[in-house]
Amino acid sequence: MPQISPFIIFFASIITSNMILSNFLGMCSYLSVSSEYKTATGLGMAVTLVLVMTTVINWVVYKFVILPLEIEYLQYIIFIMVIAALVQILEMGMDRYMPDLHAKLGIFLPLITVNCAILGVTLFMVIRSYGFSQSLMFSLGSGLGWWLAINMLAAIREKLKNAKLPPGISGPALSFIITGIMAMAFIGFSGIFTIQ
Amino acid sequence: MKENPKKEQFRDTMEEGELVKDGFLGEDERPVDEIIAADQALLAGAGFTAERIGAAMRTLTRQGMAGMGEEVDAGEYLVKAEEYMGLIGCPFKDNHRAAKRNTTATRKSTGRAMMWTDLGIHLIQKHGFFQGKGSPYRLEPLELAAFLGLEAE
Amino acid sequence: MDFSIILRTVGSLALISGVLSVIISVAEKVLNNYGTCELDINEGQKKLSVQGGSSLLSTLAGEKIFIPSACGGKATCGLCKVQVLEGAGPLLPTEEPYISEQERADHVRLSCQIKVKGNMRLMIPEELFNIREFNCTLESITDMTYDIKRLRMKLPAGETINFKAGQFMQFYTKPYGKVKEEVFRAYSISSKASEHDYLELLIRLVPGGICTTYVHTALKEGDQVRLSGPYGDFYLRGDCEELIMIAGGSGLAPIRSLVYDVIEKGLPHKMRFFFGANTVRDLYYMEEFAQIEQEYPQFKFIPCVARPEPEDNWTGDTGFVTVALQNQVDTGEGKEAYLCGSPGMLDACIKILKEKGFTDQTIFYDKF
Repeated sequence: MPQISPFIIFFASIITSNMILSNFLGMCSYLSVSSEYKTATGLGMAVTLVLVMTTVINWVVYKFVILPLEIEYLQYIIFIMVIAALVQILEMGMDRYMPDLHAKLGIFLPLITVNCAILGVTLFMVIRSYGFSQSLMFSLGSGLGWWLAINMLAAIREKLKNAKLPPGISGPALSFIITGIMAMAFIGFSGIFTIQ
Repeated sequence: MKENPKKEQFRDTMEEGELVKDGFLGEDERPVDEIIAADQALLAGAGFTAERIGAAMRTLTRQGMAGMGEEVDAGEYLVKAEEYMGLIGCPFKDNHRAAKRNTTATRKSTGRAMMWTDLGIHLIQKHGFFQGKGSPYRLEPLELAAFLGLEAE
Repeated sequence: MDFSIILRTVGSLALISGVLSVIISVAEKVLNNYGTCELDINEGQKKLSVQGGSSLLSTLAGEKIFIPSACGGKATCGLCKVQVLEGAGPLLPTEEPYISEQERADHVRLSCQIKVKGNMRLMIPEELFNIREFNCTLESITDMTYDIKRLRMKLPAGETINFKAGQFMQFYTKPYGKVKEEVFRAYSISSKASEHDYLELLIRLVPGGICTTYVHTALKEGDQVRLSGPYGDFYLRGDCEELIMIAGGSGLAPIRSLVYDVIEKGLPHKMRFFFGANTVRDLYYMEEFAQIEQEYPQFKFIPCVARPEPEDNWTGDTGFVTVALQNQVDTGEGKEAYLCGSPGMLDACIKILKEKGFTDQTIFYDKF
């Protein structure tokens, strides 16, 4: 499928193939860090940033290391190592050169290393044999889509804080129900573009 | 499940030997967030809130303070508030510093006694945190509500 | 199985992890190395070259400048505030609750939270430069009551301390039991200010307290103990005729030091010391204060016991210290009040003193 325009991929990965709402990837942090809108925004920003960087680097690693050495069967291990190393370096660099941003995002970075959406995007990129620009737009779109979804859930949960809820349903159970309804709503977009 | 890092950074200060000798968590392995949510659900189901419980505890402690370390007759309860020098900061890092004061209240009708600290009241009232299972200052929310004689709402 | 596959797998994994480790180590060397940073204190009064990368609080401590702190860098006490004019970076989320609008405008920061990453300009109160660290030897540890111990510590040979009577020291514990890190807490000095090579502290056991439990269970005579100080603005002002001193429990410590200070300096002030206790077994230093009372008519000792048992044969004042205060002190005129005790007792006493005409300028107590 290398002919799909990167821009279509970009919008599709935000709306119709949203990482959370259609692939259900990165659920852990999505559920646990969505109780406050401000925090959710921070995590969304961090995920987007890390997604773009890791996908681009993993694309390079895949193309110039994994393929020539014919070690595709090791790709999972290698991708994870690359992601972990990159997040480490990113945190150090941010602490040094962008203290403002580090104050905002620093605490989220270690959490992101093990976010499955990050590895998921890399693996989709490999499975769908995207080129460089496609991968770039795909990762950017997926990051923004993830950000959008967690912000929506956080906004709803903030509203619900003042609502009287039956005790059994409050907490994670309700978050799942809300996510399900949001996912159904997003299915409505599926006629617009398809990439999978 | 992964933890909310904003809440989890408090876990470090709650471990034993950080702010207080035995910590605030006891043997509880659950994330702080989850401990709070579980107790909150329990209370909501029974028609209480942590704020009301905290306020009732504070009222008893205030009455006990009049005795300056001696037992005071406060109607339904006998209350004793013992004080130590110095202040202790809240592990949620909200700029609250509590006096080191231990309140022991005994309900006359049942003879049941419960003990809490000023910091414990703050943790319940402002953070809905009744401390982890096995912490020496853990108070079971429903037992506490019943002990304080609160009416369900 | 083909041997070359194993070889290639192991080889490429080793290669890739090796390359990544090298990249991370290089990044750490480059990014985490802040090199030598210049700290300019009080507009050029003091200039320090320090290794960057650690918190400002510990960097300054390494340079023997001790900023008072009660929680040990956990951002729960909010005491280690320092004015940083330049080089601190943006306010961190952990600092926000502790910094008021006014302080934010004045560039006040929590020194335990900010990292030294480059050159900084700071303002530090002059008196903090006198604070030093002492590695003392615990000469004796004595039970004063069932829950108060007196520690007598000898300063290292050749070292002396100058403090104002009433000031406090920070006492550092060593890791013990479940406590894995060093912690420190503040205790008032009870020994005489004229004694320059010894320090005495009175420490009451607090249930669940890290430091007091250490002192009461783990510490032995002959142990090395680390202290820093002196800190605090609780000391004699003396701009009056009579000093009203009020203490409860281990709050006796700074008052004892103050009383000796007045006597040894030959100051003319009259002194009345109200010492509150709940039971007779909470009293201590009774003979010593009775002795001073006999020798120096300017000093009067008034111990108050709230609940004496009949078998105690208690002949002194009965009731709370507030009652004695209410009955025996007529007016705040020409008097200063020095208080040390638990917060509830302080509040109750301050309320009475204010009714009698004492003001915030004539009432002194430690706020930690």
